[in-house]
Amino acid sequence: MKVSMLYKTLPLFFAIIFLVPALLVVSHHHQTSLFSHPQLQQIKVLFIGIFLEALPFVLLGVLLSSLLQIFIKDAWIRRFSPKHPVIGVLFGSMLGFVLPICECGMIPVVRRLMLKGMPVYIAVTFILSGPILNPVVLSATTVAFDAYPEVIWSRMGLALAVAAAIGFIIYVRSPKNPLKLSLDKVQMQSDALPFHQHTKTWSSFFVHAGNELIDMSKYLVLGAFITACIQSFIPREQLLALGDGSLSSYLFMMGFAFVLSLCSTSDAFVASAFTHAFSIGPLLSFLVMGPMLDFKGLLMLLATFRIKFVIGLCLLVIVLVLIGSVAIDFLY
Amino acid sequence: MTLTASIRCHYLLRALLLASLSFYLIHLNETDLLHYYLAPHMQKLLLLCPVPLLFISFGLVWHCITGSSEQICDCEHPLPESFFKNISVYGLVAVPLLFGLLVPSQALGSDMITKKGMVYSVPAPEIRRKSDAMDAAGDSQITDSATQKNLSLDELFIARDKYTVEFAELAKRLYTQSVIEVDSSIFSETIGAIDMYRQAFQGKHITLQGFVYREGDMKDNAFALSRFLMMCCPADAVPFGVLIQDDNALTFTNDTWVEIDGVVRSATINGEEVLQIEATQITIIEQPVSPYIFTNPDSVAEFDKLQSNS
Repeated sequence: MKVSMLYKTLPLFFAIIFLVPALLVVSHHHQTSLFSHPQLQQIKVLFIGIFLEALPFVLLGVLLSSLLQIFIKDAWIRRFSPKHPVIGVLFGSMLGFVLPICECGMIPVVRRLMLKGMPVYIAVTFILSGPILNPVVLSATTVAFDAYPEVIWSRMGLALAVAAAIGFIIYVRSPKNPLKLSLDKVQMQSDALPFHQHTKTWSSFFVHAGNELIDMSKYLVLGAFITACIQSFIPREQLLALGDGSLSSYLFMMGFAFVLSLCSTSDAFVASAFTHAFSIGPLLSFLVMGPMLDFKGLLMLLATFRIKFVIGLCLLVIVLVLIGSVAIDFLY
Repeated sequence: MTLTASIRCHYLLRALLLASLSFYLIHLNETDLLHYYLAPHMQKLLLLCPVPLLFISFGLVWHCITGSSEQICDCEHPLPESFFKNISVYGLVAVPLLFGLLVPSQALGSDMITKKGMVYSVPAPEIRRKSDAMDAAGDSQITDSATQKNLSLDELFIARDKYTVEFAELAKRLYTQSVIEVDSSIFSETIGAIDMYRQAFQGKHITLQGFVYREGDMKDNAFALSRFLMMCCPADAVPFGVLIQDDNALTFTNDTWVEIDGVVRSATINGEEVLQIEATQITIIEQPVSPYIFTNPDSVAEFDKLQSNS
């Protein structure tokens, strides 16, 4: 079945291989052609920019995940993962300080940790808190909000609270097989082929990294592309006009964070440009929502987890971030 | 053709894609085009990528040629099965490459400003100010001191709070120049310092570069000289502008790169007083290699370095 499909596909790749140089030649001869349209160039700059910005972090995550795959034994992860839920959740949320990777590099690492037996609730707590509760983001936020220490600490605190709350909810509900590629399947396959052992060599390290990189980058590309389109088609003024009312300003900032898909190390600077327009609550919802859930990250989550699980997770994040930031706004 | 042969093909294709991605990165760096996409500190990070990418693709090829059939399997990474999935997976990964090669590289310009909205005051440090009350105090102080010409520099440029110490220091240095040359490496800080103490800088000669941008409701004798201020990548770039006044302003179209020699003045936009430069000469220039501007961690040190070099 697979083989016949490959036969069908191959001619198409040949077509693409010839099409690219042909198009290249054409586009060089006609500078005013379709490809040099200003709108398209804008999308290109944004798209390639976001892609290149995330690439080093994705690569780092993928290499780290391959290292985990080869050098860390499953039993170690099982032994080191705390048994008590409270300690487990705290462990998950503080893991970011040990493994300071941002949201793009997070998902391959977490998937590997889960396949090696890390409990789901700890892994999800780590996914949510890791991109905020880490030294790099802490220092970036400190620089951007120097004059507003309350923003820095509320951001960290709210991220911890939301991640911990979701961790506990997952612990209580204990969903079965949230991963697309579940533990059982891997187990089953290795049972069926008892002698099928992957040799742990340098080449299997790179093969593993390469496959995972392809898996992740297709979602990264899609996310970066859509983000670029949104940014170059919808004027910011129109977006700002949406955020007039009190509740709508929260929803606006959260939607804005979702759409922009900024790296968590730079979003604080963008948020600081809104200090004159919004109070602490909506700013916080932007700062906490963005790293936990954005367009690019959502697609990468979908690469790893089942759709039902991702939808539930998104709803929880949205509701809890909203409640949390409204509460903090009320306090100040 | 067996199943392993098909998997071998997939591996080869993946290796090809990753290798071309790494060559694309090298090409971008060689042709100085990385400036269009990333801030300098992110460029350094990105340039760590091509070597591991090449290693990975070499590993894939090696595995695909020498791996025995038991070793080659798809148990952990299911390969795409259907025709449509094949296209979507490999097509998507190839999209950045295709885009990169086919669409000519061009820096963000006027079109993007209309989407993002122009900023006429310095974005980063200005907003860190604690309260508006402090602002008002600062302003009146400066107006008073500016009227007394023979005050020393230290008295003229008083920092409003600890966040504007850097601007005050920079302003002291700029004030001693006969013609202030705004360098791209400290563009936003220099304009920020002049803007903050614009009363004191009235009548000073200044030279700066940027591209022309005109908003719908602008007067015929005005345009904004703009630069994009980038934190990490174009997604967070903020268009940053200085108001220019010149009688021949209309002859310069949007996105033209110009060098302006002029005199510092002030004007009002939307009821707020802002910095304005009255042009004495406008020359059309080539777009600089690095069209964007970036925030500098220590603008005063950078200024001293520039002075000692020249």
